[in-house]
Amino acid sequence: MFRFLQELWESFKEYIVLLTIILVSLGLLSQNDSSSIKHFRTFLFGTFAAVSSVTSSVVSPAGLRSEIEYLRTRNAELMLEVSKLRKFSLTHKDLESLEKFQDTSTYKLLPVRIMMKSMLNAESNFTLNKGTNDGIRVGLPLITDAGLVGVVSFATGGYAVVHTLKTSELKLIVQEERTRYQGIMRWNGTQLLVSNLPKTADIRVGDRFVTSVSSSIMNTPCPVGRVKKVLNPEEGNMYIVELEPTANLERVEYAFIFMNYSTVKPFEIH
Amino acid sequence: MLRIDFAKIFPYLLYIPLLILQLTVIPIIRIEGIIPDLGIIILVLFTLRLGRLWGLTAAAIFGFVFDMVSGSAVGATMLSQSIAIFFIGFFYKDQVSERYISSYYFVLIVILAATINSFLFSLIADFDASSNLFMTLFRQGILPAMYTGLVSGFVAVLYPKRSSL
Repeated sequence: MFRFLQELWESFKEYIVLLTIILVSLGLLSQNDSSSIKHFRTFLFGTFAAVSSVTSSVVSPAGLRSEIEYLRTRNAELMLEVSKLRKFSLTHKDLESLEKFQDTSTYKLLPVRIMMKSMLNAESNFTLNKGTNDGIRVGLPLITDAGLVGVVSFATGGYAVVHTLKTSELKLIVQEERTRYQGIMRWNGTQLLVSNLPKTADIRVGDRFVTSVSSSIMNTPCPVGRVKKVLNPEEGNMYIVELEPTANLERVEYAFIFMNYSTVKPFEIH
Repeated sequence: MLRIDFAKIFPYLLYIPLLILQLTVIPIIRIEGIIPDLGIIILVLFTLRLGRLWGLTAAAIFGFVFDMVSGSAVGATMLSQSIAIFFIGFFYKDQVSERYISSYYFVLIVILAATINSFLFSLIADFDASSNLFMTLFRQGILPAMYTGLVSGFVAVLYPKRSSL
């Protein structure tokens, strides 16, 4: 029996190993949200991030960092202001009085630096240089002065990982700014799409989508993307449109965590 | 007595600094959001030197570590990388395949491995029934693979030549 097993192993060892790896991988894929995997990931990620932060700080320009951070914070605040003002300009007829409008320029923004970018394999995840010690929690949005970048997916004491808009796990409720129709935004591996938009909606190329007030991520409209193309103008009952993200996900180095604490789960529709 | 084969351990030691490089420095040289995959180059290189069984084990471990630290779905890179390296294992022939490394064959093999890896990953992690498979193969498979192949050309050039094919 032992000899038979030995011969079997000798003849098919590569196939046996491949089969084992496939089974283990599929098992891991199905257990991604389990606490044991999360704990192990937190430990491994924390250790790796601490080691790589040395390289990351050397790669990034050292000088003028504080001034850049201040200017970027200001830019992001202004972007949020502009978004809010646009929304108010569109809705002012419905408002009873503009006196109720309160200037909320004191947004709580936490400046962060993107230490690592995982841009392989059709998805884009960022590692931030701040974590739970600075108040970062799962579900908080990452923004720049141009708009939404992503959402924190997990965090350790000193570091956090963000699922960017170009991640299939992030699904977001967005609103077309002009017509106010809402849709669900998702990444399909190659395109950023918004679906569930009724055909009665007057969607045009260049229209801007912002985070919806129904979204549990941001209670302030934040730009997400502009309409690049309507994919099915003649087919189906609902429009599917392709968006061009307003934030340049490839070039972003500094960003901000919008610190409006929420209790959302990271992999649901927000 | 337990003998440690340094040749088989060395790639594992090389992988961690390479992974740091991949996540911190390599994004700087992106073209239209596409970056080369250093991990697959190292895997192909050492699979051609050490064999398919070593390659499979290393691909699984490297993929697992990459998934853990990069924020990807755990098991996705592990699966796609292992299947890609399994196919690359067909090019392994003892004492012969190492010669491939210092020739343009290496670039072609890397492109094949990177295409399989990227395409499978996008199917596993980003599967969308409505998406165009051909476009996914081109955008997520072939384009990044070409860039990875280009970078692997430096490895082929710098790798010491032992004898020509």
